Amino acid sequence: MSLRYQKHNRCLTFAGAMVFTLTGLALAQQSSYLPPSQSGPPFVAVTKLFPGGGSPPPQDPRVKMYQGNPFYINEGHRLFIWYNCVGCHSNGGGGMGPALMDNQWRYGGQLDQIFASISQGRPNGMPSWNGKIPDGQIWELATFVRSLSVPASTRGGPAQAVPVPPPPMTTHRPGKPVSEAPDVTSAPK
Amino acid sequence: MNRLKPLNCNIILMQCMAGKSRRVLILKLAVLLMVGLIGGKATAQMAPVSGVTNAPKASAPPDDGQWSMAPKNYAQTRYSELDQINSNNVAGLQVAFTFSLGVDRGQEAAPLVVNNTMYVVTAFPNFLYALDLTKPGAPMKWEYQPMPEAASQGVACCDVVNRGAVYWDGKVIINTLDGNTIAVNAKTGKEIWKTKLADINRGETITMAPIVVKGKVLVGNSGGEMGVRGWLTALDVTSGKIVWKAYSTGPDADVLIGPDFHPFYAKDRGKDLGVKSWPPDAWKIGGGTVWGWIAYDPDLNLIYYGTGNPGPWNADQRPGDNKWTCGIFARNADTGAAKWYYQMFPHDEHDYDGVNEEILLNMRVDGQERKVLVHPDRDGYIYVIDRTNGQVLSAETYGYVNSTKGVDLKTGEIILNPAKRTKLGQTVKDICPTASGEKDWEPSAFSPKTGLMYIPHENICMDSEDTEVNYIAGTPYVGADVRMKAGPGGNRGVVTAWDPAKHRPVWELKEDLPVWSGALVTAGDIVFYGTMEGWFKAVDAHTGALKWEFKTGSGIIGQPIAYKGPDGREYVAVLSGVGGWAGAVVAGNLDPQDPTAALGFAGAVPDLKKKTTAGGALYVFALPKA
Ligand code: HEC
Repeated sequence: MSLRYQKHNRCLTFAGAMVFTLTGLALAQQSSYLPPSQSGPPFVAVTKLFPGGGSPPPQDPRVKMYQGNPFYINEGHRLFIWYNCVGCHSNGGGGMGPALMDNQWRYGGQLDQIFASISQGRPNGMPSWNGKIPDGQIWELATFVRSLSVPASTRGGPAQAVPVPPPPMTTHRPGKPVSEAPDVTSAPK
Repeated sequence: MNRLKPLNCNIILMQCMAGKSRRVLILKLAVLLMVGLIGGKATAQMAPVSGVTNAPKASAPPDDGQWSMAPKNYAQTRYSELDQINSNNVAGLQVAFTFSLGVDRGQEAAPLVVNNTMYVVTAFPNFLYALDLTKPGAPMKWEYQPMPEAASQGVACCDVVNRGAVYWDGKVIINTLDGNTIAVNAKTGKEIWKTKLADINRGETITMAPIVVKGKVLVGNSGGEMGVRGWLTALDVTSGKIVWKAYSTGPDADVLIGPDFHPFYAKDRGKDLGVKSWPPDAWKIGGGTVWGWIAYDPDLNLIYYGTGNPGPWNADQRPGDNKWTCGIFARNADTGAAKWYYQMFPHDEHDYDGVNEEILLNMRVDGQERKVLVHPDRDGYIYVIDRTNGQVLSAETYGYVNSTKGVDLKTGEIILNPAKRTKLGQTVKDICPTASGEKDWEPSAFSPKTGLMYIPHENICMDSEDTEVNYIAGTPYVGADVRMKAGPGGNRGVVTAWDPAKHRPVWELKEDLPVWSGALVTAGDIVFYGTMEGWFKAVDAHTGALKWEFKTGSGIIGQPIAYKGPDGREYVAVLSGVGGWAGAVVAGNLDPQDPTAALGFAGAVPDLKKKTTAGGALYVFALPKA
C-alpha cells in the first residue's frame, strides 16, 4: 500500500521540480532542439494607455521562437497538467481561474504578456510561479496558453518542424488532448 | 425555452410504494399518476398529514417571526409558522422592495431578520448590509466591508460564494472567503472581533454559514478540491478565541475522538483510523472539509455535521477508507468530543461530500418513536439515522442512482456498482449521480404540518476519467477529468416532496436547470424555491401545484426566508444572483466549449449563458396591503 502510495502521490516540492527540469533539459539535448530560453521578457505592459501618446514596448524577440511552435505547445500542454494549471483553468474553459481559450484577456494576450501573468501572478487568485517554474518552462506554458484561443487553421507554423521527444513524465495523459491541443504529428499544415 | 408561461414544470404525483424492504436497492419510482397541470388549476390528492413526524421542540422552538440563522433553527427545518400567505392568496404576491448587492457573483446566502433589521452577506468580497425594515424601502443602516484577500478568489473551488451569516446576542457573525470569522456589532456595523482560521496558501477558504451553539460559533473550512485538511472549530462568541478544533482526518487526538466515541457500526471503530485508513501522510492533505450544515439537539447536547470528500478525487492515489471523510459526526456541543460517526461513503470515488443538511425529527419508525436525523446525501440516498447512536434506520434513493446498489443496514456499508467505479486513464461513462451529487449544498425544508421534506436537487450524471495529480500546496488537487450531463429524462433539476416516515416521494417537480436554491416551507402550506433562470416560485406544499412565480434579474441559488415585518405582515425574501458550482459558467464567465470547465459542470449547463446573466440583488415580496 505504501509503495503504491509513493508511486502515485508525488508531493511536488520545488526541489523535485528542479530535478524534473534537468530531465527536461537532458531530453532537450538528446532531441537536438533549442533549449528553451532561461529568462523572462525585460518589460511587459499590460495596458494600452500611454499618457501623452507613445507605444507599447517592443515584443520580446523570443516570442517569435515560441509562438505557434508545435513542439513548445506540446511541452506547454504537458506542463499545464504537471503544475496543476489544469485544476484552475480546466482544459482552457476555466474554473477557479478564467477561461484561457476565449481570447478575452484581462492582462493581455501577447505571449510575453502571458509569460508575465504566469511568472508574476495576478491579484485575483493567480499564483506567482516566478522562481518555482523555470523561465524556459514558463515560455512553453505561455506558448500553450496562447495556442488555446488561436484557431488551428490560422496558427502560424514554425519555420522548421521539430521532432518531439517522448514526454519525460507520467502525468501526460495519452490520447487526451484538449479540443485545440496541438497535434504535432499532423501540424503544421 | 420560453419561460413566460405561468407553468413550466411537470408535476408527477407518486403513490406509496407498497411492500418496501428495509434493505434498500435502487428506488424505482412507481409513477402511478402523471398530471400535467395547466394554469395551476389541477388539484391532486393530498399527502397524508403525518402528525407524528415533527421537529424536536428544543431544536425548533416556536417561531418568533424572525430569521436569525440560515437554517432557521437548530433542527434545520426552514419552516416558518407564518401563514398569512397561503395557497388562496399567494397569486397576489408582489415585490415589496429590492436592494442591489453590489456584487454579481453567486449569492447563496439566506438573509437574516432580527429586531426589524435585515442582514445580508454577499458573495466575495463578503459585504455585510443592515437594512432598516421599519422605514419605507428598507434603507441601509450600515454596511460592513471585511476586505478579504483578493487572491482567495483563485482557491475557491466553485465560485466565490457565502452561505449566510448568523445573529447572536447583538452580533452578526460572518465568514469571509479568505478564512476569517468576524463578529460585527448588529446596531452599529462596527467590527468586534476577527479571527483568522484558514490559510489560502494551503488552499483553504470559508464559505459555510456559521451557527452559534451555547455561546460558541461553529465554523468549518472549504477546500476539498485543494488538498486541504478539513476541520470544524468552535470560537467563543464574545472573544473570538478558539475553544476547540476537530479535524476530519489524522490521529484520534486531532479528531477529538476519545472514550466517549461509540460509533454504531464495527467499520467505524478502531484506534487512529483517521491515519490508518490512508496511505502514509495522505491524511494531511486528505480533505474532509466542513463546509455544509450543522444541526444541534439541546436535549442530547450533540451537534451534527457532515464531512466533505477525500482528496484527490482520483481515488487510486489514496487506497483505504479515508476516514473521516464523507461521513456524519455527532459531537458534544461543549467540548467537541466525538460521540458517534457514520461513514456514508468509504473511499469515495465520485466527490460525494457528506456535508448536506441533517434535519432533526422525532418520528415513528417501525412503530417505535425514534429521535432521528434525516440527511439527503450527495450519493443519492436519504439517510434516516438514529441521532442518539448513529444507527442507519433507512437509506432510500430519491433520484436516479447507478453508482451504488444500496445500503446494507446491518453493516452500514454502501454497496458499490463495480461498473461505475472510476479508473486511472479510463473514462467511465454515465455515472449517476454526478460529482455534485443527487443534491449539493442547497438545503431542504421540512413542514410539521404536512410531515414532508421539500428537497431541491439535481438530476445530472457524469463521464469521469481519473488522472494522476501532483500535490502543490495552494493549487487544485483533483486528478479527474469530469464531463457532466443531464440525467435520465433530460431535466437537470428536481424538487421532491418526500415523506420521511414512509420513505417515499409524494410529488416531484421537474426543472430544466439544476435546482441550486434552498427551499422554504411555511404554515400557509407554500413551498418557495428559485430556479437558475431566475424564477422565484411558490408551490402548494401538498401537491406541488405552481401558485405564483416571479422572474428576478438573475438566476436564483439563494435560500428563501419568511419573516414578520414591523407592520405585522408576512414577507418572503430571497437573493437573486446566479453562480455557485452549477452557475460558475456564468458567474466566472467560463467557456462552455470546454465541457470539463468548472470541474465538469460546464458540460451539464452549456446553455446557461443564454438563459441568465450575472447579478446580485435582494428581492422581498409581500401581499398587497389590505
Ligand atoms: C489556484 C488557481 C490557479 C492556478 C493553479 C493557476 N491559475 Fe492562472 N489564474 C487563476 C486566476 C484566479 C486568474 C485570474 C487572476 C486575475 O484576474 O487577477 C488567473 C489568470 C491567469 C492568466 C491571465 C489570464 C488573462 O486573462 O489575462 C494566465 C495566462 C494564467 N492564469 C495561466 C496559468 C498557468 C499557465 C498556470 C499553471 C502554471 C496557472 N494559470 C495556474 C487561477 C489559477
